[in-house]
Amino acid sequence: MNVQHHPTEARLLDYASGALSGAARLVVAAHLGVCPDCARGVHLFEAVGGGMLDALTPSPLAPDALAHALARTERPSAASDPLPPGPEDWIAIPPLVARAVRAAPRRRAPGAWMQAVSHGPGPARCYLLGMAAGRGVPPHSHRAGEMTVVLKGAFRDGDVILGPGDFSEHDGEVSHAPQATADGDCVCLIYTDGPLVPADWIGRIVFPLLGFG
Amino acid sequence: MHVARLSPPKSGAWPSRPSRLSRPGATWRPDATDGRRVSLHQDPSPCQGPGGFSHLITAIAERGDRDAFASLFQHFAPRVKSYLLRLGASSEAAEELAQETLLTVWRRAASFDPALSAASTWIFTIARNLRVDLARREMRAAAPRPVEVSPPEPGPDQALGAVQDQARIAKAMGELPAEQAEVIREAFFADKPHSEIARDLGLPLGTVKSRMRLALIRLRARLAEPEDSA
Ligand SMILES: [Zn+2]
Repeated sequence: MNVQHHPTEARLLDYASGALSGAARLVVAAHLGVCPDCARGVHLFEAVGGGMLDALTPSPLAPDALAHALARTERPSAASDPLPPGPEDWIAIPPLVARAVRAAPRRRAPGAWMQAVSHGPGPARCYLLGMAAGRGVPPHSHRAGEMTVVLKGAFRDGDVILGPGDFSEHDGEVSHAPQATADGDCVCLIYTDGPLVPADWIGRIVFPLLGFG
Repeated sequence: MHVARLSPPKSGAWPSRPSRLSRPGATWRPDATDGRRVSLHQDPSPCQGPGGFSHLITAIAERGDRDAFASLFQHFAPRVKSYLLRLGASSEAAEELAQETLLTVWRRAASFDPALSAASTWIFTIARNLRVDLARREMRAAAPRPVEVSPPEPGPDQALGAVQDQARIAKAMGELPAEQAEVIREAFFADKPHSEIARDLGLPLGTVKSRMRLALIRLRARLAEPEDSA
């Protein structure tokens, strides 16, 4: 896979430290799954975290903590459900996203669909956005942060074309009208911190259909 | 988690505090009274046979070795508790999550590969993931169970490219410019994404991002050098 657009190092550090919230982690995790270079960066930061953990002054636990833990090692661990795979023609996706693909209702508008993956905190949300070949979502702006990873196909955002595994992020206000390339439909996993604001009347009709209030 | 051949850091390799704050009045408080102090782990860690703590995890995986578990627990559970206390957890929550972290070590010991990861790094990622999952469950009480979002493990060749032993990482960290080390330390021990670090340090977002970028480039470069010149 020829991944060309990557998260910033700051974002990789947010991921490694755990400062990134659950919903936002999913988007970075999907990119890491197909980008060994960024995965190496995260691993390096995690090793820094491991070293910092080891260097901390210990805080004593309750005197019986070890006995409690040893008692709990006797219990068989609960069998976990097998993790669902994602659709075959997408890049590998985190299990929670695969579960949403199967279970979440798909909201449709002409040329696009949306499936919610995860919400919160506050207005933050993570969702799947599908765009038919050559189609897209109407112009809109974001007032806060946005992260996107392409799971299938490619889309054009201004002058840039993003393909499978590519990652894009915006920190603050951005106005755009992403559109799938003409050669096939496109699916993205997107995280946004805040509301999406339609730029015209088409958007004001289309976005509610997709579930963006 | 996928980082190779690491051993606990040599004593003295971790700077205990940022040497300079970026602006007067910033909130880093390295005094011992607020429970947030990072200090050097000066004593050689116990149980340091060949392989450090890694062989203890392997012993759990291979034969359910409860003595090995006890040794790991005694070293790491109090440190995981300190980590969680620093991030603002209550004493009870920190203790519970520290126990859960070590029990996860017990349950998943077979998935630990000492060729890919230091024990401390692996245990750090377990504690981090439990913390992130807990935050999500608290946010959405309806969520049925914690969900593992870790990406697939890279192959050994990929990880080996990235990783050296922990003493070298500690040394490379110690050699970072203070302003770069500071933002990394803030990231791990203040539970802040880079945007909040920028705000709290009174720095432009671009400055913080560039410090993090330069730090990673520098760490990578140092670790890519042959051992004797690092
Ligand atoms: Zn990447």
